[in-house]
Parts: sequence; C-alpha cells; structure tokens
Amino acid sequence: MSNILTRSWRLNRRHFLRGLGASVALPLLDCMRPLRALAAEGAKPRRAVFVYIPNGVNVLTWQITKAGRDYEFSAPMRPLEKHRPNLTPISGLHHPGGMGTAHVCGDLWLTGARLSQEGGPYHNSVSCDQLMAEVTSVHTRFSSLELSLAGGTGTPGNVINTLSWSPDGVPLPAEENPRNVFNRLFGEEQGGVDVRRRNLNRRHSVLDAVLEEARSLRRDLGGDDRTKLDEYLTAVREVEVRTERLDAWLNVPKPKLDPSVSGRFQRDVSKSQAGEYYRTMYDLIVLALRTDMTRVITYMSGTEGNGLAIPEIGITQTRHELSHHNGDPEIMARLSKSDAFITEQFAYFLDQLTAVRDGEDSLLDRTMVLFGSGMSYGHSHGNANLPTILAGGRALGFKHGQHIDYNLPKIGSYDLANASGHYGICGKPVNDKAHLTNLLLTMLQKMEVNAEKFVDSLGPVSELI
Amino acid sequence: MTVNNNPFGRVNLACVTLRTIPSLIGSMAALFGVLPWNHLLAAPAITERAFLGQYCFRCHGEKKQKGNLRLDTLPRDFSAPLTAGHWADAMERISSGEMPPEQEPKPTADEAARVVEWIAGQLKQGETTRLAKRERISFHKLTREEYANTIRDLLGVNFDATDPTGLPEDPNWQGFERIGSVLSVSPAHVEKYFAAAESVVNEALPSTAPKKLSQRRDVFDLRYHGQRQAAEKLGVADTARVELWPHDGVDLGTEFPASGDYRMRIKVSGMKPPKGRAPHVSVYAKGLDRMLFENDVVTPEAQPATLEFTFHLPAGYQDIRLTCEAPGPSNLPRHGRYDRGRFFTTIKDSPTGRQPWQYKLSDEDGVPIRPFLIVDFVEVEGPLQSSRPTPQQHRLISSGSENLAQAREILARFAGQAFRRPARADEVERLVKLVDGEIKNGEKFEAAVKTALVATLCAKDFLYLVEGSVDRAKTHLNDWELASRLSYFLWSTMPDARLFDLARSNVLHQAAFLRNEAARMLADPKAERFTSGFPKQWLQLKKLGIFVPDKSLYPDYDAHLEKSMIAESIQFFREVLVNNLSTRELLDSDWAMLNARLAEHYGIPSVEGDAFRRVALRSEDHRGGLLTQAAVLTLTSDGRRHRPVHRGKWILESILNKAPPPPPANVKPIEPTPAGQPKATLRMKLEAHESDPICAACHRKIDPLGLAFDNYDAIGRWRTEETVHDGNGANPRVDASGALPDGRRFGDAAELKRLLVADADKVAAAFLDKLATYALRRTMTLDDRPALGALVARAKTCDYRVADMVQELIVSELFQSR
Repeated sequence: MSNILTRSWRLNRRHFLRGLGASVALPLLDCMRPLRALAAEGAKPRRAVFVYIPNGVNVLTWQITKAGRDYEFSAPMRPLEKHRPNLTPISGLHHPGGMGTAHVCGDLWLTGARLSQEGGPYHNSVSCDQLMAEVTSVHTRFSSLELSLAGGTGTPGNVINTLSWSPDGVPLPAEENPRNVFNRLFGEEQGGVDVRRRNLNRRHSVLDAVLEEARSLRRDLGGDDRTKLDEYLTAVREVEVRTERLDAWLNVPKPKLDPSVSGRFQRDVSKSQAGEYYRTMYDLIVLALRTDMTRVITYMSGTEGNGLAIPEIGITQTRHELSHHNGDPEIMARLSKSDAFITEQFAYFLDQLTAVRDGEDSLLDRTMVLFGSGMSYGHSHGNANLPTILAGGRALGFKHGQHIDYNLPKIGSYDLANASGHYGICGKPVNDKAHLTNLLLTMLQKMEVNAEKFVDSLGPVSELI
Repeated sequence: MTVNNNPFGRVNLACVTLRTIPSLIGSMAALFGVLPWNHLLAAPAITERAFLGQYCFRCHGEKKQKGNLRLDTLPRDFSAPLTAGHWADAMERISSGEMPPEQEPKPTADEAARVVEWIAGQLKQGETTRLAKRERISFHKLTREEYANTIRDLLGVNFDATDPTGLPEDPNWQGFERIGSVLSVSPAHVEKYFAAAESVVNEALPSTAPKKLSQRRDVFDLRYHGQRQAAEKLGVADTARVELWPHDGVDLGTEFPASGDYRMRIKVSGMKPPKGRAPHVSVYAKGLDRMLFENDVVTPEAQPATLEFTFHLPAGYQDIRLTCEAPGPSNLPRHGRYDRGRFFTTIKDSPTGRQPWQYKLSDEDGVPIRPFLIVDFVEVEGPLQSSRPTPQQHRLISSGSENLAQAREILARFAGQAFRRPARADEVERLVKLVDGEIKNGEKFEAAVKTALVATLCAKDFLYLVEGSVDRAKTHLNDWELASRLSYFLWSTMPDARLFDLARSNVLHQAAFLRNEAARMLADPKAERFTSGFPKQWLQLKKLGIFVPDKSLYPDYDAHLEKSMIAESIQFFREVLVNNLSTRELLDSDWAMLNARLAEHYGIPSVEGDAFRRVALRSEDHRGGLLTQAAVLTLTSDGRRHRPVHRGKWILESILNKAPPPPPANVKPIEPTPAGQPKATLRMKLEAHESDPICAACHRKIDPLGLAFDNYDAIGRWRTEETVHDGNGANPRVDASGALPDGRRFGDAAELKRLLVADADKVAAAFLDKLATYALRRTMTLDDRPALGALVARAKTCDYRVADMVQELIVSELFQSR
C-alpha cells in the first residue's frame, strides 16, 4: 500500500457549496489538499482542460487574418472578444503524423502519434492529458475525467469517442451522461467509512489475486509475446492504485452540494437541446474543477461521426454533414453558424471559469484550456492549419493577447476570396515546423510535467511564455 | 497516410458525402488489381520496379535522398510498420499527383494507377499479417455480448452489458467486433469488470432474500387518478379504458426492489385502420436507454390481448414509458383532452363514457381512422428468481463443512467452468488463499467464497479466450481450446456440458465428433446468436443509423423501420443457412423475408403482422438477394442522398472482400450545380469529373458497382427518377446501366446481380474468408490462402451451400489451427 494512507487531512467536516454561477469563494480547494502536497508545491493547483471541435470549421470564415496583438476576431469567434486578454488563437499548427488521416485526426489530437507507423493493427501512444494526470493525481480523488458526446471508446482508427489514451496507447472510455458523471464524482456510497473501507479492501484483495496469477504467467513468458497480457496487467495494476487512492480519500467527506446545484445534473438533458447540453457539460467540468475532484479533463464536444445538430437555431444536420458542404453556400453558411454556436458555448465555459475565485486568482487563471480540432477543412479532410485556441492559465505563466500565426510569414497575407487557395493552406502545412506538439509540450511544461519533448515537438511556443 | 482500410476514417471514402464523391476519383487507384476482370484492363503493363526506376530513384535513390527518403533500398517487407509507413507515404504522393514533381517526367495515369495499386495491395497484405500475428499465447477478449452470454450460462443471471452500468462498447474492425488484436482493456474496463462481477455474483447468491414487487396498474392508476368513485357513480368503473393516440403514452415509472428478472403483462387492444399501419406498442426505460419490449399489436376492440414479457433490470427507480408508436396526428398537446370526469370506453351506446368515434379515432361504424391502442391494465412482478437459497446457491455452494477444503472444492469446480478448462491447482490455491484472507477479515464463509468467485470473473482466463502455451509454439488447439472456439463461433458463449465432456475425453477434434457437434449446435436455439451475429458483423449492419435519415426528406423512417431493415438481412441469412441454400441466393433470390412494415416500405402487398415470413417476389418488386435490401442500401447512404461510390465500396468490401485503398488527403471538391442549370443526377455529376484521367482510371472500377443501384433512394425505396434539390426543371430519370472493367455490360441492378452470380466462385471465396475471420477472431493472411482455397474447392462440389460451408470450415485443418 502506498504511504498516502498515513497522510493526515486538513478537512474533517462537511462543506457546503451553494450556487454555481456567481463568484462564490472556493472553500473546498484548500481544505481538501493533503498537507504534504501543500508544503511541496506552494499549494497552488495547476489544471488543464481539453475541448475538441469535431470535423473542423468553415475555414473561410474562421480564419483570423492579422497576426499580433491588434488582430480582429473572425465572425464565428466574436463571442470570445471579452476574453481576449485571456486567450491566444493560433494559426498554422498541424500534426505531421496527422496529414491525410481524415477522421482519425481525433485519435491523435492529443497524442500526436504517427499511427500508421507504430506497429500492430493499430497503436496509439499516450495523450498529453494523461501525462499531466500522472503529476496531478496525487492531489485529487480522481486522476482525470474523460467526457464525450458519445460514451465508451468508439472505434480506434474509425470514429473515436475519447481524447485520452493510456501510457500503453489504450483508449480510455469516455462518459457521455452528465448524471452518471455527477454521481460518480459526488454520489455518496452506501455505508459508513468502515463498510466502504472493507469494500475497497476486498477489491484490493481480488485485484491482488488476479494480478499475481497474471504476473506469474508473464514471468514464464519471458521477453516477448505479451502485448495483450501486458495491457491487462497494466490496467489491473492501475485500478489497484485507484483503489488505494480511494481508500486514502475515505476520511475526507465529499463536498455536500446544495440541491439547486445537484438537481441540475440529475435531470435528463436531451442532446437535441444542444445549447443546454453543452452548458450542462461545461458546468459539470467547472464543478469538478472547483471542488478539486480532478485537475485534468478532456471533453470531446462532438465526435468525428456526430457533432451535434442544433435544432434551436435551425440546423438539423450534424457537423459531419455540414462539413462536407461541397461548396454549397447555404450549407457553408450553416457550418459557420454552427462554428459560432459552439464558440459561444465555449465562451460561456470561460465565463464560468472566470466567475469562480480560486484564492487570488480566478479559476481560469489557474486552468489552461485548449479548444481546437484535428481537422480544419472538413470537406476534403484537410488536417493542416488546425483551428486552435489556448485560453486561461495566466497564473501558470501563460502570456495571452495576440494571434500567433505561422502561415503569414511565408504567405504574406490571406486571400479568403480565393477558396481553393485557402483550402490548400488547410490541406498542407505552410510552415513544416509549426507542430501542434510544440503547443502541447508548452502546456505539459506549465503543468510541471518533466518533459523536454513530446512526440515530434521541436520546442515550446516562445510567444506564450 | 495510413495503412488501415477501416470503413469510416482511414479510408476517407466512406465518410464523404455523396456529392463529393467524384472528387475522390483521383485517389482510388488500387482497387481492381485483385478482381477477376482486372487482367482484361487494356493498359500496357509497367512493373513497379520499372516505374520506380524511371520516375523516383533519381531523387530518392543512390545519389540523392530527397526528404530523407531512399526508395531503391527501402525493404519490401510491408508487414514492418515503419517500412509500410514509408511505402504508404510514397503511394499517397504518387496517387495525389504530388510526385513526381512538376519539372520531372510524369507517368501516364495508368502507370501511376498501376504502381499505386501494387503498393496498396502489398500494404493490405502487410496489415492483415500484422493483425493476425500469433503470439505463443494469444488472448482474445470476450466481447460484451459474449461476456453477458457466458455469465448467463455460468451463473444463471442476466447481465445488462449495454446499460450505462454495463461494459464499454467494443471497437470493431470492418464490422467484426471480435478481432483479438483490436479489442483492448483499459483501467476503466477493469473497474467495470469488477463491478459487473460483484453485481452478478450478488444476484446469483444474494446474502438476504430480495424483496419482491407485485404491482397492478389499472386505468385509475394509468390515467384517471383519484376518479374511481366518480366512475363508479357513472357506472363506468368496470368498463373505462385508456386510449393512446399515435405518439401518446402512459408512465410506468417503478421502484424495483432488487436487481433481477421481472415480468410485465399488458392488457391491450390494437386498432389498425384498414389501409394504415398497425399501432406499435413500445415499453422503453429512459434512464437505461433500453427498449424493454416492442411489437405491433392488432386485436379487436372487444377482445384485448395480454402481452407478456420479461426483462432484467438493476435495483432502483426506472423511468419507464408505454407508448403507442404509430404515424398520424397526435392529440398532443392534450390540453383539455382528458377532461376530468370523462371516461373512455368501448361499450356501445354507453351514455356516460366517450367512445372511439367521439374522439374521431374511429368512424361511426367503428372502423379505425388512425392506429391507436386501448389499454386496460399493466402488471409488473419480480424478481422472478426463487428466493434464497437460490438454485445457484444450491448448485455452487451447497451445504458443507464451511472450511477451506470445501472452498477448494467449490472453487476448483467453478474456475473449471469459468476458465473453460480444468483449473490448475496453483490457480485454485490462489483463490482459496483469498477466501482464507476474507475469513480472517471477519467475513462469513459464503461471503468469503463470493469474493473468490468475483476474483475468478476478473481473471484473465475468464475475460479472454486463451490459446497456446508457454512451452512451445503450438500450431494446433487442444480440445478445450477447440470446444471454446466452436462454442463462441456458433453460440457466442461458453461450451456446454456435452462439449466439455468431449474435450475431457480428448475426442472432440476428431472429424466425426466435430461434424456431429456442429450439427447439434446449429440446431440449438443458441445458434440464433450466430445467425444474427455473423450477418450483423459481416455486412456491417451496425452502420445503419450512424447517419440518421433526415426527417424532412424521409418522414417514414423511424426506429421500427430501422429495426425491421436489420431484421430482414438477418432473417434472410438465417433462411439461407437453415435451408442450406447456395451463396448464389445471397446475391439474387426470388423470395424475401418480410414483415408488414418492410413490405409496406417496398410496396409489396398482402404481408400482415410484425413477424418475418418468406414471401415470393415478382420481378416488378425489384428485390431479391442482399444487395437490394433496405439495410444495405441505407447504410451506404448518408441520410440525405444515396452514395454510389460508397455502395460500390461496400460491395467490394463485403461481397468481394477487396477493400479499396485510401484516397489521398485534400482532394478538390466538386462544385454544386450552378444556379439556373437543369437538375443533374449524381451520376451526371460523377461523369462530369471523369474528364480527369487519373480519377477515371480508378473510379470506373468502383463506381459502376454502386451506380447500378441508383434506382434505390437513400432509404432503399425503388424509384425511376432522382429527386434533386439544386438546379431547374424536372427531376432527371435514373440511369443505372454500366459496365464492368472487363467489358460485360448491365442495364440495371438486376442484371448486375446476374453477372455477380456468374462469378460465384469469387463470391464464395470472399464469404468463406469472412466466415473464417468471425470464427477464428483474426484476419486471414497469405498463409491461410491454401487452406481457404481447399475449402472453396470443397464448397464448389456442394454448390456453395452455406450450412455445408460452415460444417466444412469446422472440420477443417484451419479451424483447429492456432
């Protein structure tokens, strides 16, 4: 067992959290942190959230045309104007391994893997959020949270439902139902501490027994021939660690939420009410962060197969259908409208993060948020010039306020009237050094992950730090 | 660039909408290299070596290695991932026209097509080799469906694997959900396996007798709340009923006291208008997103039927709704509809009750105007399992001395079942040690044993089908492994007692026994899992509904129709299998399996009821065989329009087993029809783009296969005109004619089917490959070719009869090989 059990906890009483929107202080954050961690890291948490846009955007209306600080937001991005000091749009990024991967771009958005060259029928590598979770998980009840419009893993290499991949490159199933997530995070388990400890203890013994059995076979097998067995071993071992962590948290009561807060997550939100669904998910993310349940969250706001239709603004097609607009002006206009809509929901998320105070800072200041897609021009599966916005994390050392553009130094200026010209920029990298992994590396380092390089990164994005 | 040929992703093709298809023409070079008519293609041959030497080596050879790529020494080992990646990259660049670059000599379109074709073929081969790689011990994870089936046989408990509390959905590879190398296990899986094991063990061996539920909702509970007395006063208390308009429903939310099986009984009349659709009863659990029951119901007003069905539910409150699913005007919002004090009744001339005609549900002669239901009561009872001690408690634990010796005996027996082979002593000891630890922790004997049962269900030997041994590279299965392979192939569950007996006697592998068992197993009701599971995966039926047909374009499309479509293809395969018909029937048949809903969809008269039955087809029905079934035609469409290229690709993948290679990234889109131009069919737009010779070289091999089905719209209805939204004038007529690359011409889908029937050998070979993939849980490789070839030859002697082919596969060397 880990020594985490012997830690003493500062929190012994029940805490009540009321209201979501307004700037309520966050009593929970400090109380719930183990003493040791307080001493070790100066008490300030670092958080990261990744939000995926499916199927790219209408790049002709999305593109910001001017680099630097006095850039103008493009029309679909205008909802973000009020957060200008807190974010940085970036143009020209790509994954070298993502070129020509069409809808597999979702699989590698956070891994940067070159999937075709990794061996086996399909093999991904660890996603950057999971590297972050390794560092933050000692502080929180749950190491990370994987959310998605569609639950489970989906089908790797086809339509993936999750952004997160384990160190072995195994997809981590995502949750789609806000109620299930809420209950997992905040639900009270049956029985008192002793009963729950006994249950965890039993789970630990069971895992121990099956692990021992599998390990003995693993030893007999020797050096090779063990991929699937190793995958099983790693998974069981990780659940053992989680069991220990849950045990360590047993003495810390879960935050008691006001019914007006929990009620919001107990009803069924239909996905046909797109705005309500997105806002519920974003509220859930904010709640998970402010109660310090976890510090790392990925959210696939839509899969490559199904980005929500938005009946409330008259859009009945999924984003996949809109993205294959075939140049039809009507469909392209709807795609822009859909882009603006999801950006507006994202702006709502930033509003909520700004409204919550975390000591001296806002929750947004201590949370880095990546908002983007693995595709740009969906109609022809362009995987370059990826839509990318980094927001938040000022207190973690990010400098915001400008539009970083890797295309302009080479192309001089954008000519969006020349559609096929701009589609070309979205299909083939203009600057072959503008790797998305550079940005992911920058984020990893700000999360205090000890990394000099992430996959094919060439170095951190200097403009941001 | 990717090597995989997955249906929606790596292969961009499958996910572009219809109108973009011509734009992909330039990319589909590598397709027909393997099809029978390919050698007739009239292009001059250029070897790949000559091509590379002539166009590539100058910059990627001995002297220069531009982009760090040297092709002349790049190994031809396409199963090595890194090498394959380089080749894939080269293919991508050649096929997109990027290479050779502008200033260099250009190959002709046919030359480029040929070399791309060659690389794609090699890559495909390399991929299957990697997918099928055999380890000394291989682990094939049970799918969640197999998990649930196995738990049922092992513990007598139903597990709802697809519920939110169940297991994650399994990824598939070209429709197949059981490929060992594709199925993975994450920590979240293990957590769910643990939770599942605890829940099924507790249900089988409850520590206290579960509470029972027995509930009856009459009309006063269903609708006329608190009005019993009022009804009595009016004299309609015994005759009041509840009418349900189309889309209307009643709530049946219930607190279920324990996890278990429950029985529901619904007394209901179903009123069908003479020319309309039957009302459809659906009972849906919202929180679980699970349909507990659905069926068309047609019974006279005065003679209601009692529907009875069972389902499994977890403990707790479930939000359940009984709905009348039927088309028609709803009376919702129903303000003022159910006036307090008004009671619906079907008693003629009742002075106090409202009758159907008064609601305009029927005409004055009592003939229904729209489909509606009349409900009298709903009953629920359960859990149905007998109380503690349950039969499982008797069977698994029985009474004894409650010491470790008894635990040892219990666990050896249970693990022997769960692991599908005798448990080794050291395995049993680990479990006994666990019992010992639990008892020392203060647990009672039965509770301690249950913990060990949970551990057994979390062990790798339960969760995976394990084949092989540490000692040596075995090439053959032992009899225990063989019993499992056979059982999961035909039953999707663990072997039964008889198979275990034959394995224990070590005779199962003998052809006579295998043949006997195969026949016995196919005759068993559990074989339904094969007759539905195999066609579902082979034909990729799961894709149906991914792109939900647009409601405004296809208002007829609903859940019942979708379900009927899938059922048709399954029932069709079942009919072929059960009657041991030839694979030829799969391509073309003069009969179909239909229910009323689908017959209406196809415009075929005189089919009543929800059950599927065999219907003789006339030529004017334009049906017969798999290719013109609604499921296939719809799953290859995008919810708005048909997609000829996707239809062509589906035929190549599923029927001819020749998946096309991926198109390059960033192909140019085709333009919409400019305003003011006459309406154009998709085919005309495709042809307009055949001016690009690179496109034409390849797409003429795919597109005709799909265009042949242009007479069927995006939900599989027959048509002679294509409905087009952009452009002016009348909708254009469909032209479904075309030619195969070898020159054989066809006028429409029916004629293409006949050409495919003439290629029966190829189709049968492809079918066998799919069957073996399903059975062996891996892809077939070059190494399997001789074995498959021999099977095809045998199959030919029995006219490619499907049941015979299943039998022959089971007794073959291939089936017993690792």
